[in-house]
Amino acid sequence: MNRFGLLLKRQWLEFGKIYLISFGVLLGVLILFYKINITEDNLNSRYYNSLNFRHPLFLVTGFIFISITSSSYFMNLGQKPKAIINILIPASTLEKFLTAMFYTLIVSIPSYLLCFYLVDAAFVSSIRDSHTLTSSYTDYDGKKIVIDHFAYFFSTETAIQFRSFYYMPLLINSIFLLGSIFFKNFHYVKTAISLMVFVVLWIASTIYVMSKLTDNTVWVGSPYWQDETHIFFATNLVALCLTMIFWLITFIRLKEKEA
Amino acid sequence: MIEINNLNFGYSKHKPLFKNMSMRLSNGHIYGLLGKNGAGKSTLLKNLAGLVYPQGGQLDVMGFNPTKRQPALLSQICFIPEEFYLPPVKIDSYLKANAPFYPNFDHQYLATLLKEFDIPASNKLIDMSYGQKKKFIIAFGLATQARLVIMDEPTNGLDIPSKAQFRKIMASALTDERCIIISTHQVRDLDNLIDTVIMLDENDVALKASVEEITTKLTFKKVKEIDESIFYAEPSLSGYNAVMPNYHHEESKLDMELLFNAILAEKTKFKPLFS
Repeated sequence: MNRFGLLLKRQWLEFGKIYLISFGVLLGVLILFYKINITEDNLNSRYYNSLNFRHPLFLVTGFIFISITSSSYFMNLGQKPKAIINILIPASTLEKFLTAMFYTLIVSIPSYLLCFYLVDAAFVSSIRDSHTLTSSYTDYDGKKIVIDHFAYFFSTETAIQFRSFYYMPLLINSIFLLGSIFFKNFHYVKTAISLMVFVVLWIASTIYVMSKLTDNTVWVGSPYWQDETHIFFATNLVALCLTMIFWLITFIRLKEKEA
Repeated sequence: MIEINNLNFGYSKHKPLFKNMSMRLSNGHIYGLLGKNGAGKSTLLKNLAGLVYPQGGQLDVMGFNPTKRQPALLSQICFIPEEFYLPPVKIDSYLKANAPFYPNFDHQYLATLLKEFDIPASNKLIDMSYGQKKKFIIAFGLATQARLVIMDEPTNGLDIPSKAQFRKIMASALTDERCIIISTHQVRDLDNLIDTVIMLDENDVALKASVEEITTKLTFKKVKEIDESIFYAEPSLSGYNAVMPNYHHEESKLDMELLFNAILAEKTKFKPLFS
């Protein structure tokens, strides 16, 4: 335990700088986007979608921040002089792996969410001080639903729906962490290209197989797969399994890394 | 301390570096590891430190298998690579982050070594010259009090006074508990420092003998003419520098460069003497 603590402290020297720079850039980008998109004109025109830029912003910056921090963690192992020092640090491979998980998961993901939350809170609070914009509708049960168009990001309906995809940051982390130890150089670009190729092949093959299997057919089985909660459950399960597999491969690569 | 049994290693399947290499290294010695470029000096050192994995055979380093990279073994290994990296931090920060991993780290000894090497403790590592960095990494490695000290070309980049300091420090760093292995091309840098010579050639150990054994069995001297008793000779200004069997128990100083060339050129002549 003591050694693990020492390793966390030591790794901060190497990873801390990249993390702080990435965090600073993230903060700057978020502030810039809020500043550009929230204009007095937009607010006074009472556009319902004045703050809709936040959803793609959250997804894109989240992907970039998590992938960059994950991709940079093991990149030193691609250079022999740095790899020698890292391999010879008197700590077990498991401790080294857990340290990577600590910084790229436990530190990076919550700090991203906190950063987004604080920037959003700061801007939206100032809007809510001087503007209000709501609309309402009646649902099937006759209940009146009020939509606050200047709501804080994490309390919007879309952001709440994002919670079903909680595995995405974990999956992104596992893919880019593996890429950082798998490739010797240009880790980020190579991982991103591999991911892109994989996603394209996956989508194309799924469409092809499903159309071959289901074209001109009628569903006569149980309605299990027509319930979206079951589909979500299956997707989450597959994603979590893939995440675990990528982490396991990363651990094995770390164990077998030579310098 | 170190036992190598039938070690097989190669970076490619068709080009093995070591074929069934066996050797035993003990505490209380400074070994000089010599060999041509590509003979596998650095690779052997990396095998001992667990930085690469052997393709066959067994390695035992202080009772551990280095390929398992157990922290208990790693804390007893000081490895000074030929090409190294130091983070852009102050010496103090580097020590705070790295020294606690070594249970016997001696801060007082480090301060003495840094003073001897003329490196101010307040320096930032990034602002230092290559030679200063090398001296720092050597000082840090020795201060860990590791029992196995492995150095790959440690004198590369050191100026002439620093090389003399290095020899002095290394001689004083040897204890009965320690084993020091130094690989180098610059054999003269190891003069009067090493007590055992290990020479690698053709995928195996071409020679492993103590300096005392070598000078007992061989004599190194200048001769005017070459005769059949001479194993190997190189022309010099006043005749030849020659290596020959020491039939008359003459005392001579080991000329490592001459021995190195002699072993490479006339391996078969030397083999019966040192087998």
